[in-house]
Amino acid sequence: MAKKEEILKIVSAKLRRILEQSQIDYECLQELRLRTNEPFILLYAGGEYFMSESGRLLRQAKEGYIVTANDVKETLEYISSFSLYAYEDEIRQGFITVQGGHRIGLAGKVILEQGKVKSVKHISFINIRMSHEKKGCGAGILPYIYENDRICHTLIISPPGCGKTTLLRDIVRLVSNGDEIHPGISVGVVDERSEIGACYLGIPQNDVGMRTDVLDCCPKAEGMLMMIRSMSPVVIAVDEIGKREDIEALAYVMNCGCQIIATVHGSSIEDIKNKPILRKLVEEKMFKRFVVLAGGKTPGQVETIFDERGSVLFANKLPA
Amino acid sequence: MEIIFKMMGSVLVLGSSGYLAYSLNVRLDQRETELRRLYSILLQLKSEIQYMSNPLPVCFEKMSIQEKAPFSDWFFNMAKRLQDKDRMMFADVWIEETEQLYEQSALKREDMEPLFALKDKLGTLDTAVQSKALDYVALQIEHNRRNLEKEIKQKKKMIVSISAFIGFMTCILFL
Repeated sequence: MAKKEEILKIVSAKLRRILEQSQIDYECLQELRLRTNEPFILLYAGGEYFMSESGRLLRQAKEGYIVTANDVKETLEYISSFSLYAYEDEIRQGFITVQGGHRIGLAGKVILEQGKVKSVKHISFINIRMSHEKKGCGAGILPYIYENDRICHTLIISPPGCGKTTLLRDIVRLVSNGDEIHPGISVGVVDERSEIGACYLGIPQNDVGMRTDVLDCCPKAEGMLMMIRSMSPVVIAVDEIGKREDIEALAYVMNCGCQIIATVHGSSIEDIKNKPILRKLVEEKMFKRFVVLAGGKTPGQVETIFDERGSVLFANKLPA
Repeated sequence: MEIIFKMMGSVLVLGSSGYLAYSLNVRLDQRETELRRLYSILLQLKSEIQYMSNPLPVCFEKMSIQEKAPFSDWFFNMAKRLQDKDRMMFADVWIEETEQLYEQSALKREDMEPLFALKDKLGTLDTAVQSKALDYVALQIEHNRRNLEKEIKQKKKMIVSISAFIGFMTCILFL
């Protein structure tokens, strides 16, 4: 289903009419923000825009369409297939993934039970994040993360919003499918925030490769152990490691002979060394390859690739 | 000749009143069957929501296969409209399709009112509230069915008597 249809299917009738009148390219659309009694905002082609009732993109909020409580309520009905109860777990986590892999963030009044988040009610804020695959962005990295026909333990280091998940997804796809040089291998993805596979009803909406198994919405540490026990992966891929239990699980998986491709928030290897929990990853040479992404406009743009000794294997001469 | 026509007419009138009595009795039986069926349907829907956590379109699709007309059509149309490209809110679809069910079934308005009230209860986040709402509606349906069960024999006798009376009176009038 085209991205346009996927989005029109889940927004309220009023917003549907407005979007149908607009001429936007859905490939450039990043986010749609619905906030009750506030202007309808789009993150489009790298910029923030409002939209008039006639579907015109505006830079000023003055003539922008104001989202009503009914718009939010109606959109919520369509997002949840008229069954909010069926998405209780997802709502507790703050997001729902819909067909097409788009992630819908929800915010409102949180209900606590014994100090833990039980649910979110009176949802008044919806953030529709468009899913965009960038097939081929991992192809250039692949030769550097293979050694003796085997995938090395690889850590992708990137600041937020620079495409590490996009890159990880493509690497998983390429490794899983294989090519003329390297045969495809089974990959296990522990997709805690449903961003890599973006599963809808258990089926990945993004192409993660033909030999990939996905544990959707599963905590990373637990998920890695489950994968090892049940799915016999050759490679396990995880996104945004950062907790102590994640590192412990990684060590266990590595000891089991499984290769790891992981991502972490950071700007450089030195930045990772400065974080107490993550320092071990570098100092104990747990990873053999470190891929540092550049904080530019192009998602997944690689700045440098290092090996475990810190030797530069690849450096991208980026314009100043 | 006149007498023959009058006798034929009388037979027709008696036949019609007899058929009317028969169809009204069938409708009473149908209403009882449908109330019984509806009670079971509501409990099944509760189970789908509370234990299976299936989204409503999936529940309705399943039940459209399991049930017979008019309920199978009701669920089929609900599932189809909820998955339509040009979507409407659940409450609006529920009201429209439940009205259709009312027209196609032998159920009375008093049987349908509790069903209409579910438009704002189904599909919400709280499964406990939905279960209680479905239990309450099921209770009302069961109450209506039991009342009907008590009165059905008397009602059938009354229908037959009235139809026969009307038939004979009409014959006497014309004869």
